[in-house]
Parts: sequence; C-alpha cells; structure tokens
Amino acid sequence: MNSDLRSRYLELVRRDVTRYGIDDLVPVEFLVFGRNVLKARNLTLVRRRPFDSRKRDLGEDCAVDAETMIGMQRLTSLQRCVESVLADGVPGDLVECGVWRGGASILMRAVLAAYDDKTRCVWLADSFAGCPRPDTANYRADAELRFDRFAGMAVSESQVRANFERYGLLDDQVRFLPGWFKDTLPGAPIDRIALLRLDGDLYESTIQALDALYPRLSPGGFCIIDDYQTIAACRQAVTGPVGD
Amino acid sequence: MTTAEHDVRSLYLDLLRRNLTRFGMHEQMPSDWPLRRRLLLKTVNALTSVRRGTSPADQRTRELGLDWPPEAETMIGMQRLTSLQNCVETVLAEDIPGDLVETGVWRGGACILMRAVLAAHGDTARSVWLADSFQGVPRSDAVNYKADKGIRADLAAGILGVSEAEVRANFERYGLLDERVRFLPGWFKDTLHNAPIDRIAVLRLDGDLYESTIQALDALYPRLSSGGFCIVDDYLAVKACQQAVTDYRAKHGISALIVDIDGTGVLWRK
Repeated sequence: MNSDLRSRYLELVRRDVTRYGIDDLVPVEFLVFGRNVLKARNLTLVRRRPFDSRKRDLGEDCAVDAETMIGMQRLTSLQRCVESVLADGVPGDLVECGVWRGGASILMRAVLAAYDDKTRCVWLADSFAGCPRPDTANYRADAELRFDRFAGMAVSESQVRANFERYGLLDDQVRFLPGWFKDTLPGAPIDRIALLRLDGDLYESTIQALDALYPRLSPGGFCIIDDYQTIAACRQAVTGPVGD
Repeated sequence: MTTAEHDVRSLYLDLLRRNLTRFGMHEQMPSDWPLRRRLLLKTVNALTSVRRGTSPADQRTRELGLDWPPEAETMIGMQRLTSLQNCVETVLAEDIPGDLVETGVWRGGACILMRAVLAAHGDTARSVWLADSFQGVPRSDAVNYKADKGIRADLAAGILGVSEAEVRANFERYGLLDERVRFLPGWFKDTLHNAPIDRIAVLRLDGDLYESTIQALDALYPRLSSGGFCIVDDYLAVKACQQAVTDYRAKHGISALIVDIDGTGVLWRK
C-alpha cells in the first residue's frame, strides 16, 4: 500500500514537470519592425500543439511552461536510480550539473521526500544564465555549439526556487551552486555523491563536471549523461580523446 | 501507521490539491472556446472580484475559490479542498460507514480529491458518487421554488455544463478512474431518489440553486450516517441555497452547528 502510494505521488510529479497529457499552447511570434506586436497588453497569439505521447516520453518535445525537457523515460530512469541508491544505502548527495528550470532536481527532491530521507541534499549546479560561449581555444569539440545564443536556456535561480516552491519542495535539503562550472565545482562543499547527473550539453561543461565531481561519486553510485547520444562533443568528453 | 507513510500521503494529496486548483500557475483560456464563452468567464470573474473586493490575479482568489478558472478541475479553492480532505480522512479514521457523494460536480475536481484520499488510505470498500446533469445548472423553476427567481445560472451552461466524458477524462488523467467512481447522470429530481446508494459518509452539495439543494437534501440526507459530514458549497455565497438548507433543517429539526469553512462553504456533522 505504502509503495503504491509512493509511486502514485512520484508519477504525479513526473507528469506535472513534463505537463504530460496536456495539449500545449505555443506562443506564435508576430514581429513588426522587430517588435512582437501581439505581446502588448498581455495578449499572446498561440498555436495549439496536440500532446504527443511518443515525443514526450522520449523528451523530443517540451511543453512551453514545463519544468523539464528531459521527457518521461529519462525521468522514470532518474527516479529508479535515486530509489536504488536509497535501497542499497549508497552514501552521498544527489547532484545535477545544468538544471534549466529544475524539473529533474524537483523529482529527485520528491523521491527523497517520498522515502522520508532527511540526510541527503539535492545540489543544483548551474550558471543560471544559460550555456557559456564555447571556449574553442581550449575545447575544440565545442566549436559549433552556440547554445549561448538561445535565451530560453537561461533560467534564473529565483525562477528555479519558485518552481521548487510550487511543488512544496524547497527547503534546506535543496542547495544551489550558482556560477560557471569551472569556478564552482572544484571547490564545491559536497563530500560524497550518490548520483551525478550531467546535463551541461558542451564538451567543456561535461568534462569540467566529471573532473571535479566524478572522484567524489561513491561506488555503486550512478553517473547519468543527458546528452550522450545527441551531442557528439558531450559524448567525446565522456569517452576521452580519440586519436588526439 | 509509520511516519514515512503519513508523509507520503500528505505529499501526494497536497500536490494533488495544487494540481486541481492550478495553484500559483498561469492558466490560459482553452483555445477551442468560442468568444462568447471567453467573455462570459471574464465577466463573471470581473464581477466577482468587484463584489468581493479582490483582485483576480491575487493568490487569495484561488486560496478561497472565488473565481471560475479556465482550466483547473475545481473552482472551490484550496481551503474548501483541504477541508474536504479532512472530512474524508475523519470519516475513514472514525469508521463512519457509507460512500462519498457530490451533487453538482462541474469538472470533477473535488471528487477526484475524494477518490485520491480513499486511494491514499488504502480504502477498498467505499465508492465516490458523482451526481450531475452534465449539462449545467437547470433553468430555475420559479413556480415551485420561489427563491430561485432571477437566478439564470443556466445561461452559463457553456462553462458550467461539463460532459460526463470530460469528467471521466479528468479522472483518467490522474489515474483514478475505476469501478469505484460511479456516475449518476441526469437532473437531480430524476436521479437522486432511486440512486442505488445505501449509506453516505460525506455528502457534498454543490448545486447552487434552492431547487438543486433541497432535492439533494430530501433524497440523500436521510441516508447520511450519524457522524457523517454534510458540506454545502454555496451556503454563504448564494442566498437561495442558504434558504434551502435553512428550510430543510427547520423542517427536520436539525440543530447541528454549522461551521464556516472559508467564507463561502459550510459544513456540519450529523
């Protein structure tokens, strides 16, 4: 009964952070001389995008206001990882590097709450200003990746806090590490890590997070790479230099 | 009951209440609504906020359930939902026999919460009954029920009338639709008297009119177990509804204390 209730709660969280099963209303830009005329006076022109379960399962689309874009399957896997860490008593905190609106971290915090864990923290490492401009001098693999141009990638810390708040999950077990990874991660006050989730997209972000945090990952802990199969630079950071 | 179990339960039910009221969220008018319905919704909310002296953007509006939300599954607000949850939990804790009934369900939010409380407490015996016309409030019958004269809630059928299929879909979306969610579609005067409900533990009246309230009380109050809750959603907001309750209580000598929930809804225990 107890486990049934837990899965009910966590399923509800997963559906909420992905806006599962709900048609999406996508704002349509309508620019006149560079000004979005339809945004005046709180008016927005929107287009209805019907909910597509296949895409939302795989994280190939994302609702306009959803707290995560990683999709149902990766969320479910994340939940299983945290649950198995708790069940096996793998010591350490849960860390996400690159959190966007915080959805995946909200789910991790919810799993801790559902299992009444009061000892572990969820750490959110992010610039809270989007992806950095690629540093091609040091990381050639990132040359083409201009994620810094997408304004939508930048979500402020206060916005992420508000998202946690809305789920009633903001407390001192949620810790923030605001700043670029190269500045914040090496000196981060995290002793041990049970789950390390990397979602920094770039070679640079991925390798910096691995360098700084992987040594602190407990044996039996999980290392999750969000973009391994979609971004070659990220994969290369994980696999290591090939003929370089 | 262990502490952990208690915590998951309140986590789940708390998140569900936030969902059902879209608490603190931006809502958008459904894009397939015709212009008339949108204007009606805006007008109703504007008038309510003027009458109540609240701002429509205010968090307290949803806390107290003072507006008609475009998307949320319930309009009764956080406080009445929490009170409803407490009622169902009390009934379960004290073993008051009977089912949970709502007459006038709109999009089904309050019933979804009741079903979720049963699920959260592992109850496998009780049913949740949804009595509704599923086509809005009836045109007031001023000949038989003088108190309803002038109430034209039937004009809002576009918003207040929600089909049974839509309510079922709402239950489905929360994974709570099963054979213990029972529907009584039709006007109260036709459906309630012979409703196949033996005993009731929580009776929630949300029919707005004198007629709907008195018909539900006449048909169902006798089946309410002693110790059960009778909740009247519009007691302090709709005069005619209050009149129906006062008349019924006077006629049957009910003197149980009426408790104000949030300035709109009230309840008493039988």
